[in-house]
Amino acid sequence: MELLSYALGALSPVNLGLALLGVASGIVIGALPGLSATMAVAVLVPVTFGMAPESALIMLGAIYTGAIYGGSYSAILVNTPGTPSAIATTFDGFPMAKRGDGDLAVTLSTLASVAGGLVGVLALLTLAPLLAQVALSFGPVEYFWLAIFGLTLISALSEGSTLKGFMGAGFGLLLSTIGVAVVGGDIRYTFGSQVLLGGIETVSALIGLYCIPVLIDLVATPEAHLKVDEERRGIRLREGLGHAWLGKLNLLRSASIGTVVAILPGAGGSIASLVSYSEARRAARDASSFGKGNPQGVLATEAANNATVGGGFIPTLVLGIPGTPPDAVILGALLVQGFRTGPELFTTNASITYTFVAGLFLATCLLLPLGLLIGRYAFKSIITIPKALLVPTIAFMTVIGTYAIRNSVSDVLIMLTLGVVGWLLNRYGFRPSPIVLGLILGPIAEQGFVQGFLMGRASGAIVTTFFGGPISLTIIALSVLSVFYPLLKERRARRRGHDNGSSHQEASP
Amino acid sequence: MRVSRSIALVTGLGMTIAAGVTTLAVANEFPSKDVQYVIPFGPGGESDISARLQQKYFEEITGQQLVVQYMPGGGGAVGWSQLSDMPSDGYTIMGSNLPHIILKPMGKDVGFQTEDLNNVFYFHYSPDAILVRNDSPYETLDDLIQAAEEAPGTVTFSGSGTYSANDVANTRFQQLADVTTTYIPFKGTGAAVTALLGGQVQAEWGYTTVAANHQDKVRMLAVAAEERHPMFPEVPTFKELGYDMVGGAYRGMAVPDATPEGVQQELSDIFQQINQDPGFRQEMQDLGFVLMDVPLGEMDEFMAERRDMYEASARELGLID
Amino acid sequence: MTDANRKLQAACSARSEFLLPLLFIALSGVCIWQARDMSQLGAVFPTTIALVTLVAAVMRIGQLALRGVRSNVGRGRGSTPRRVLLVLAMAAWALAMPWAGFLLAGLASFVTLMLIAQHEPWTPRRLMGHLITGGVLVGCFYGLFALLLNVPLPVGRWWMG
Repeated sequence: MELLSYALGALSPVNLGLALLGVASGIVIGALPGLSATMAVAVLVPVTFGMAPESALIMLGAIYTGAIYGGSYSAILVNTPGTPSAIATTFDGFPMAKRGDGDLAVTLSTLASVAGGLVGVLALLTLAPLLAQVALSFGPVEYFWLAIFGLTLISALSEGSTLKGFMGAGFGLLLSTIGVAVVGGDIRYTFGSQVLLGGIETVSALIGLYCIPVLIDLVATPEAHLKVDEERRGIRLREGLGHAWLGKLNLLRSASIGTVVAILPGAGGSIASLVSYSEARRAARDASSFGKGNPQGVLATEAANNATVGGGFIPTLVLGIPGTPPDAVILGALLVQGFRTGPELFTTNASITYTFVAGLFLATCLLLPLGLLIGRYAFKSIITIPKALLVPTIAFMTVIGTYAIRNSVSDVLIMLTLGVVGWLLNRYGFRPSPIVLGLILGPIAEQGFVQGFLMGRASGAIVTTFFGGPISLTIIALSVLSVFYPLLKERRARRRGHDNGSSHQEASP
Repeated sequence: MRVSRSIALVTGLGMTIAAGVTTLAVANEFPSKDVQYVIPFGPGGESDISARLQQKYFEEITGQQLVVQYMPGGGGAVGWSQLSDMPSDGYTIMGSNLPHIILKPMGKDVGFQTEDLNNVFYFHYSPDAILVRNDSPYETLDDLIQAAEEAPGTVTFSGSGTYSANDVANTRFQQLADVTTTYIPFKGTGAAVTALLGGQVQAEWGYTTVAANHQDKVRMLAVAAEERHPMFPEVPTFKELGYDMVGGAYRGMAVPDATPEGVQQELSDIFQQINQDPGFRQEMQDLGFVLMDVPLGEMDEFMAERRDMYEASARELGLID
Repeated sequence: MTDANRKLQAACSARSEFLLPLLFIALSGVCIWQARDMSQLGAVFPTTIALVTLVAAVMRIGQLALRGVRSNVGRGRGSTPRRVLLVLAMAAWALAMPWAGFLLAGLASFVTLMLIAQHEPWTPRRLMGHLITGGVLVGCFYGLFALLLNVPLPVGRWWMG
């Protein structure tokens, strides 16, 4: 019970205060669109140099945990995912808020985040060396198939026409090729403009495609942004716990998926919550209510989302390969503090490791009271603030948030352009999610494909390279399943004599 | 007419004196506030970690903070193309990396020219190295060269990026050893080392720093430094083995062109002073870096020398004619 | 199965349902055309994706032509001028920021957007209240980003001399 002594060490009043401060400021930073966990952590790093190592680690973990959770506020209340991993939270969170259940959605997200976070930290503590091997068994080819699998989720996630989903994804994938290519070094689709040289930044695209359309429609009518019920209902904790208890299997499954998928560096964090979401939907009896404000959708994505914190640290600490950008910053800070990754993790470095894990654990527990409190406040301010103030405030956040990502005015213009394009496309039945999915998965698919091709050419067996490995075959099978499952389900439904006239011919191209 | 001309003359003179005085004053008190240090890459990379280590000593020496920021995109091009628009008072400095700043603008327009960057100091480099897994059948560099000779193109190397330090190193190595290998570019050193550890490739073009980070899982066959790295006394240099390869990823800092000469010198001195600190030297060495001092005065010569070498490689890569 | 049931429901007007796939075909065409100048490794991915998009768009047109399409009549509410004004105001904001500086551009845009978003008539009291709140909000954000988070916000080239 070495951990316990470290946990008790972590519980000194000073450290507890720092953890509280870290979680609270993390939540606030994460809740602002554009202000990411990466930035929160990066700003804090120099401050931690002056602290005792334990305090520094606890505070870094706390601010990271808080920021990942805080991202759900903007997803639920203004339909803007702060990070790619919060995309799926908008699917059900925003419809819930629209119909007046925003307070319930925030409470659910808090409960799910705590549950998911605890599962992730537990996995980090007990299974880290074992699970880290997962990260190594994924080569370029496996990443390529994983990206393809992520793209097939479109057919499960797109409402309406699947073909439109594919066109949207194609658009997103083409957007992702803009700029200097990693493999080949070409400068592509910049049309001679230096503004596009650095490519389209994912988070600014998220803000543009999700938040700007909301703003555009917000100014068009005098109606309130969210529906408000007259009666006061507090934080609706009892109701939230009820939903969580009903969805306990969902929570556990989503948290496990989140932990394991997040181990894959680079790709994991962004698709973990999407996979959990589509799994939750597949398993649910009332699948059609997903995307229209089903509480289980929020539970699934948020549990997965916060499980990625623990999961992402597994390759970071065991292999020295950071899973996500904030992991990279924290690893840098750990290196500066004298920490070395590798087998000494739980021996020579045990004091640093255990303190850090204990800090994450503490921070996740603190999410519950702090999250409910700050969430209540965020919800209240969104519904009480008059529209004439709400619009400029959100607009202000999108502009400053996008600017701050890489200190670039060009990114603000790109964000705005994508916003207008996104609004137009949305009007014609093209949803933003396939576009964003294409944008995120494009580089992973492309690099995986070209690297796999080069590897296959070197060994003289391109086909075996792509279709040889057991992991590749499993992912291919899953992709095929996710494309055809909705069709099969529909056919079965029709055989029961129920024809709703929806698009049964729309197979994937 | 006369009057106005003399007024102009006096004003001009006054301004020159004023400017001179300000420069002097600035040079004496520099820095009197926090210095913004823009890294043209994302967080967590070697440029970031080096900057983080410098932060502490910068504050000790000057009493001011070194504030690290990131401006990633286009392999550094996004940051470097904006350097000339930044304030030229010396309070904004940007990380400068070789071979990137020379290779990137070669033959295409990436928004900046090598000459646009006013390098004030280069402080270290991570020497190129060939890494293999601990269980690799290649015990020496000769084993690997032999394998590449027997079946040209089958030995695969992972590395970070196209037209990058790793790509250049591989090209030069192929030339010197007269073999053909397959170079597979990855996004960043982290992804390249993952491919090596996962057994996707047989070897990696990396740096001593990578070996230092993954000591328990990888070993180096040769290092492209002048002498053996103190952390890895058993690993030979390429030179010892008969290949004239010394190089790697060099790091320094640049300022906008209009920055006063005195301030540039002051910055160069500060970072040189950081480089002398025994604590800093130890920390850098433990991470696998090799420290060096290229102050402002020697910068032109250093850059010209590196440029010649990279141009030769670039010609080989087909980047320029 | 009646004919009306077979028809696809358009998201907007029936004509636009045909127009959008055509736009995607044009986009794919441009991308494939542009890819000619790239190296083989760089061109393979965008070309493939553009082809897939093109095929999806053609299939969509075929589907629409075969099954017919029904215009969506219950759509389009709200004031389009306000939407356009919002976008224009935000674009002007981004363009003015490097010149006028973050604080000034931010304050001016905040007030402009406030006027665009207000549907009810202004009373002096409400106007003053909103202006003060807006000023405080902009100030808070400025403080958060510039001072706490060390983001180098544009000072404004006009004032730099």
